[in-house]
Amino acid sequence: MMMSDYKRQHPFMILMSLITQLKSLFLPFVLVLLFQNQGGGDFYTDALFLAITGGILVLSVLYSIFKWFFYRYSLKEDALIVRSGVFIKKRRYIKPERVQTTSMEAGILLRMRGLVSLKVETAGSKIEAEFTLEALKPEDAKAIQNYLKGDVKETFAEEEEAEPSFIEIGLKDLFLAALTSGNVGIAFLFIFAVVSQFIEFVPDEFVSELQGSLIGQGLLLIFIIGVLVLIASWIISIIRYMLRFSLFKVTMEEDELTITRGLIVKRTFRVKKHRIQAVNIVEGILREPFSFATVECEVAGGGSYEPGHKITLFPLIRKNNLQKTLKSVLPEYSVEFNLSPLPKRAMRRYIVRALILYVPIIPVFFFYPISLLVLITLPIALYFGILRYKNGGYEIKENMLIQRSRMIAKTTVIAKRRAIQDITLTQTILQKHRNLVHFDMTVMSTPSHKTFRLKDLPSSTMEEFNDWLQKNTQNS
Amino acid sequence: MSLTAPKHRLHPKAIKAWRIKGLMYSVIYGLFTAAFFITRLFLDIPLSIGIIMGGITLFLAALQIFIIPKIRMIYWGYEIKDNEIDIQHGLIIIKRTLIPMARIQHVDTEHGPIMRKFELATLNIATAGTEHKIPALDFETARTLRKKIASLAALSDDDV
Repeated sequence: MMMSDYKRQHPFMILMSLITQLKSLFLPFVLVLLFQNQGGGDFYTDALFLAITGGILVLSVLYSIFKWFFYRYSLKEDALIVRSGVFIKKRRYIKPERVQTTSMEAGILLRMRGLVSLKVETAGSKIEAEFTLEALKPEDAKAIQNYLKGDVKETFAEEEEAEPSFIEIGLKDLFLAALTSGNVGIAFLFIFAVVSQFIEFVPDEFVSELQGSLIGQGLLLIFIIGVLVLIASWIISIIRYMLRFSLFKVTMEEDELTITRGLIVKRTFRVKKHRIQAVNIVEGILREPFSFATVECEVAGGGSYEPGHKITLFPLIRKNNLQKTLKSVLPEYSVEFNLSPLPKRAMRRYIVRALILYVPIIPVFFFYPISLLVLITLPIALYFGILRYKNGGYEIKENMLIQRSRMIAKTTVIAKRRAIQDITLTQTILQKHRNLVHFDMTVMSTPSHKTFRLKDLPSSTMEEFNDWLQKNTQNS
Repeated sequence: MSLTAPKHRLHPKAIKAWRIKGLMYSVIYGLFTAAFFITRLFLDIPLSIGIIMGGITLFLAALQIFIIPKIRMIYWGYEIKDNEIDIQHGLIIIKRTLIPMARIQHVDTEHGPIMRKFELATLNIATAGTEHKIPALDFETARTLRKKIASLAALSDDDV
């Protein structure tokens, strides 16, 4: 059989590798160039500079070629073997059963050639992927994925079998999701960064003129500019979101999920269902009023599929559709829950926590009365404090622990008992008087773990959690 | 806390060990204060800063040598059950951690120079994401617990 033969990646990887290297050289190069120009046109330094640049370029090309040449993989009976290294030879054995997730990705460059890159994560990998094949023909990538899935025979079998069921996001929903994504902050920072870069290139006279006029026109202009920037940020965030999540599709197979998304950079994320540790239902403040929610999942060793190590299962879902959809995708997590609310005595603590931030600024009020304007936000803070109290809740349902809390967005976490790494209950002296505890549960996640906290539960629940956690984990 | 406190305490010698540790930290703070006064011989810096530094040093020393070790001992407790490890510790904030036996990835023991002097060891317990410590166990207990946890954890052969 062909199976034990070592294969190389597509030669296009040479170009990819070269680009990565040149990217990392770009900044030093520019710096050198700047200093070079200051020195004046000395012929010898110029020649030396050119020679070094040329040398580095040639070396980079050679290195990339060698790297491609020596990077080989083979699908053996019991393990995927990757051999790599130009000077230091490396040989890696990856057992299919240890693989947590695989993800396929294709940037613009790769897509022009109809290629994909493949990332494989194993249980040990923390932040970086265990290994990445940078340029592969889609059929080769598929073959590796199938092999890692455990179907060695299928590696060469025909693609088409029974078409697995899938869920897609419609254009209207995508737009709604983008509109309510609330990534304004990030986009705002982006614009700010660009503008502050741009300002450096603006001639000095123009700047001073602008400043003069700003003071002349008063605060109004600043305000208008601020609003415009915010609107622009919002639009950018919408576009970014739409690009990221367009063509979103979740495909369900017996024990695996495949999540595909992206218009420009197309990404495929494949995960075995039992690697999923918990499901989060997130209702952002812009989405909640419309009964929309986002569903994310925590995956053990999931790698960097989305920024912030998130893995979105449904970008936007109507709440009355949630259980039905979860049932078809991850039936275990489709539990109807009826959460126990937090005790009445916890409410005071929630309110105090929401307002305590105002205490340190009280002295400022005496010196600058205008700062009293800050108090406009007080009702909002109070409202959120009460909302946090009202939304907090928990329930133990067979093998599932459900916990709901809110910072800004309302988040409901559904975790299987076998996914819970530990439970920690924290009590301060003040809480002791009221018989309350903070509840933390930790599940494995990307890159390492995630802790979900629910504040001010009655301490009597400790017994309940303890008993539940101790139950035999065999059939959960 | 309403759940009955874990059965086992740390070794009583731990208090002494913590006190010595506290003393060593205090000496370090003291050195900073001393450094200040030496600098003051050559430079004109207000005395008040030195007094504040000295005060803080004394305060921290009292806290770390006399007060904290005792309180810490009162709240520290642990219990290794068949399918769970139960740890409680804290000073003002009391933390109670429950770790299912099936989640434990590895256990090991370690001891630093001071702890070794008192023949005490720390037991480290790691799950797939988190790490926990039971400090100041005598060597024999630490060894027994390590073996016990290792065998109990191996019994429940759960994949991640």
